[in-house]
Amino acid sequence: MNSQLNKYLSISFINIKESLTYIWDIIFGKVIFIALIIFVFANLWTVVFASKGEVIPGFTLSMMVWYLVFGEALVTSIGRFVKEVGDDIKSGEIANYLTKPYNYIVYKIFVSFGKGLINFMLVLFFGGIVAYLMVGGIKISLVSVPFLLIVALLAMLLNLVIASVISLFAFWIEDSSSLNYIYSKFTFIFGGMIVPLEVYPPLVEKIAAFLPFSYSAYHPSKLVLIFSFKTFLEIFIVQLLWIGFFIIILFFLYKYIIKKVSVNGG
Amino acid sequence: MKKEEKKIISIKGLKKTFKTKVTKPGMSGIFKNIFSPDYKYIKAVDNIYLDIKEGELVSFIGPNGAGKSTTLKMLSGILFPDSGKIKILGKDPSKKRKELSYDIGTIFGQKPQLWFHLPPIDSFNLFAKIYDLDKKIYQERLKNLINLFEISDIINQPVRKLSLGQRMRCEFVLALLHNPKILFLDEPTIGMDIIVKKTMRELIKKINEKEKTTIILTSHDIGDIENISTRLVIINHGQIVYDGDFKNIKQKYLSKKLLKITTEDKIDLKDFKDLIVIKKSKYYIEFEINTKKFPLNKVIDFLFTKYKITDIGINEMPIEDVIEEIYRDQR
Repeated sequence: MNSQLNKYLSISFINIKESLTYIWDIIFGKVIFIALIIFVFANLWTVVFASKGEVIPGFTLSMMVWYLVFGEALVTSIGRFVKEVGDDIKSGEIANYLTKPYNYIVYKIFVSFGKGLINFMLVLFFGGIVAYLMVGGIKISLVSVPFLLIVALLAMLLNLVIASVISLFAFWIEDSSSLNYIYSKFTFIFGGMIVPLEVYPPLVEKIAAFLPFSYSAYHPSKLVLIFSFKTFLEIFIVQLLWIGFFIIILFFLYKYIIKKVSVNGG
Repeated sequence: MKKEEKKIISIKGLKKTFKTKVTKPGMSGIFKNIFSPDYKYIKAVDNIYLDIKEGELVSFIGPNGAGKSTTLKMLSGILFPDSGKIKILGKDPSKKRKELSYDIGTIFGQKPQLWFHLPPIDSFNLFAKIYDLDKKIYQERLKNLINLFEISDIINQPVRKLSLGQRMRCEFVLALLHNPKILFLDEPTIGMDIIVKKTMRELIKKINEKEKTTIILTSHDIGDIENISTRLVIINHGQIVYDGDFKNIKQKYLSKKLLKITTEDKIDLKDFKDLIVIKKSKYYIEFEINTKKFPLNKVIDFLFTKYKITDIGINEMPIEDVIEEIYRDQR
């Protein structure tokens, strides 16, 4: 088991190393764009707060903007996972992976996890600069940082295991871009990536807060702004439960699907 | 029984059919495709029997869509046969894929496995972990392979800065790191120029001879395997058309060459009356010669003395034509 984990962690590590070799491509190709979105929203919230005051009770202007920074950093970090799996299937590239002594989908999760860590830090850094210049900083107690990191890592992992389950449908559908699109919009809206779920009508808010998507964006981002050990524990446990739930689905679905694989280019 | 003659792969009655949608034309076709699509069944592999001995170098040759890659993918366990049996080292690859992956190395043409932005050594180190190689054994193995493939001066340069030939050497080292007993090469020469193809052929021969690896390769171009293949399997429409020595095929069917010539002077058809002319215009001619009857050097000498030639191309007969002739002979 230990050597298995070691194997997969090496896969994450080599992807971190590779990401670092083209870090400027990532910054110019992706991060700057996300920082721009944060800039636009920061302006938008400034206007809204000036005319209406607090949109959500207890959420100040700077909290709203920083919420977006964390939400963006968490959700966009995993990249277009579903599409990447779809592309592997479409191009026949999957043949390279299936002939190795590892599980293909676990391999992909660890690849994206490695790349995701770099993306996450870059968006946090550049988005943070924009947010700081526009609305100032927020207070985070140093003690909470390790707990926040745990929740952030689990948020990324949860996002990846849900994406993995969805990506398996790419074995049936010829083009996975649509799947990727639907999934990313789900995390935008029900996950609360852009705005806290409190802006929705109470019923929608309750449903969205229960659904797994919100544990990869809304709950962790809010925890950064309003930290309590009790909330941390709640989020931590539910994250683990959802991750476990999707891993079980993934396990059975993968076993079933891999028998139906038809590798392209035969 | 000699060790070299041990059976390593056995294929019995292998069949695989693919189901594909038939696209109907027109507006009504669009709706029909969505609600009641018609399917076409393509027999990709149709009742193949084959035994491969340890240390053999076998080439699967056939036109595109003949079923050679499908066969290879079933051998590596990533496609499941509809019927028939495959045994590799006594194991069924569709059930023991992971187990067998330790004994099999693969190279799928145009699907590189090296990390593009990193030096090859990083990919090697990762593969050592993926294949659970013991540190000492890995270091020793790597040292040997680096010497064998002469890559010591490039393993620390990013892959993107290497030439195609250098990359290929490293791809081979990567596929051989775990010391596989069998190596599958699916269209390894696709998209390569003549010089790189030559390097490739030399590498394949070297691995087979020095490492004693059993190699199965596929290609749609019979010229690819000149000088390397000991055993040739020609596949067409999912069936084996020929299984035997490459030399026999070469003597019998590869004596024909296809010549394409562009000249500055008008071409006189009388000069070509004993040859099979395929295409002709004022300054261009395409024709077939049998080198047994008309030695290539004599034909070319003659052409150069008679005409001012601006361009010349000499090609092997396409595999489709070779297959057609084999069929004709069998009848």
